[in-house]
Amino acid sequence: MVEMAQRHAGHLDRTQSRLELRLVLAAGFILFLVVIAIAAPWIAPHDPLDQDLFAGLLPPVNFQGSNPAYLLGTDDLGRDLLSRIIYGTRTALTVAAVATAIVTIVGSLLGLLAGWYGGWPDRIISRLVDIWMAFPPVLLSILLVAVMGAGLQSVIAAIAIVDWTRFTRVVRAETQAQARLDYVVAARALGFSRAHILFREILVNVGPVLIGLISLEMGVAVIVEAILSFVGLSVSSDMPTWGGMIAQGRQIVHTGWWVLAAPLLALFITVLAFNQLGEGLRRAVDPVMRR
Amino acid sequence: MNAPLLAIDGLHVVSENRSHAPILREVSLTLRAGQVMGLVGESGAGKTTIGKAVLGMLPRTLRIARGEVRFAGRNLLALPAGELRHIIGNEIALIPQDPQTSLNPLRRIGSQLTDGLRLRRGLTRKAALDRAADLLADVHINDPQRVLRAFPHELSGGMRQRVLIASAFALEPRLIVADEPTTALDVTVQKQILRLIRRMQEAHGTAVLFVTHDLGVVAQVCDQVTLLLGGRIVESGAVSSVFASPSHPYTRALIEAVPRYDRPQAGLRPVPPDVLELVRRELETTE
Repeated sequence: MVEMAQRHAGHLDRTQSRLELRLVLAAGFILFLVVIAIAAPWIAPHDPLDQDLFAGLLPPVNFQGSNPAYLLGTDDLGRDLLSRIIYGTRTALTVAAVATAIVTIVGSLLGLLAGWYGGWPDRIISRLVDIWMAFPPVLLSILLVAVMGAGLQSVIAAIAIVDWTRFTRVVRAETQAQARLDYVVAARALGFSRAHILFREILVNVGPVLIGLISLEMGVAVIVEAILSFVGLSVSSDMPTWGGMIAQGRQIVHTGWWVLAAPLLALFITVLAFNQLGEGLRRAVDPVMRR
Repeated sequence: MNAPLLAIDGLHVVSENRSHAPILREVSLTLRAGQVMGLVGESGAGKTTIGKAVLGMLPRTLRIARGEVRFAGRNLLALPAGELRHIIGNEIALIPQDPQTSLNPLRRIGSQLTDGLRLRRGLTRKAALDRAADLLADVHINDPQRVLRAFPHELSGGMRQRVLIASAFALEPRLIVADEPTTALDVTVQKQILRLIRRMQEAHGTAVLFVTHDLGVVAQVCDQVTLLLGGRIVESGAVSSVFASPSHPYTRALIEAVPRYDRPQAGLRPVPPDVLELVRRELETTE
């Protein structure tokens, strides 16, 4: 009996440390990206726009014909890939942070209202979500940017306008589930107003779901920004972006695969880190799961 | 001489679906300040519905067809929502049925317990926490400071029910609706909680509407008892007289059905079929 309990406890410890590792790795990598984005001018070994046609298409270090001054090699115009990726982090993170903040506030507010008050507010908001989700999201955002004109603001606005439905749907469902629980009945029996119960009692319980959703959304925002850059509808071309680099690398993949691989890898790891951060945080902040 | 604190008068509640089945049929009862009234009945007899009607929390599927719920002379059913909310919580409180789920799982006890004190009584955070610690000490929690910092899942069921009792008494209400407060607890804890409710009620002079299906609980904590069957009052009166000389055959059968240690050879006695038949006919005639 005791032995079983011990084994059980040991098992719990192991899952817990793995969760923490996931959280530490993901949060560490994102913190690392933030530092890079802020300190880009001092960290980047070269000017990301500086062309050197004599040093065009140099492979990354450790490959034949590489130049140690260009760690990840150069593109066909002789621009340093590492510096371009470092500067691309700025665009990616700005879009991820700002677009996600807007989407979170607008989307979850609508979801809370729909889930808590029900009736006609719910009907209007839910039908709006249904209509919205009938549009193909990527095409809609491309259309929006095309109408608003390229630029950072347009990209952020496009992501916010397309993606709020995800938050509204999830938060609405979670609010409905929470509203049925006994602690809400108990709060009502204390005579608290509906708004008080919604923001003081229910919102904290929607929190864990919301945190997961927020960091998932950051990953999505990074991808959408890359897509818009890929089709040339993001920031102007004198600002390096991962999506723009991928588009460029795609054309010369047969002569210089690294021009495509480097930004793809940066994108891949970043989105993965955001997703893992969400899962780790959700478990870490939930006091019931933390035990 | 002293008017009743709570007077339910001809309360008739029907289900909102197509059947319009009556849930409560012309229920009338009175409760004086400081008294404990047991509401007893089988599942579906309407005892919880009465409690919810008093708290103004009937589900949307039920509709009050007629009748009044007068609290301190005012008909709660006719009050505008704002005034009703002022009474609910301040003067009428609830001890819920299930302590496992009736506390917000993501907020610390201290924060939940001080909500009412801060919002309703205007206490500062510090003063409200001090008051909450006193309340926890009143319900026999030994280390109030630790409990105030705890999350609900860190406490046992009995502890949580104590916290909920403390919360119900926090604003010194005049009436408390206790909705089967011991059903979800194990037997040894049940006894402590019952004694605690009775002691708190006596100390504060609070009237209690005690919803239960357990006649033993009624004998232990209640002054008055009202027996419900199929949404109708079968019998009502002081606990001692109802238990000593039940006037309705259903009451008699229920009291007989309680297993007793002083006559174990009798075994369990279900309610006899002829009594059930009688009750069924009675219900039909009132339709």
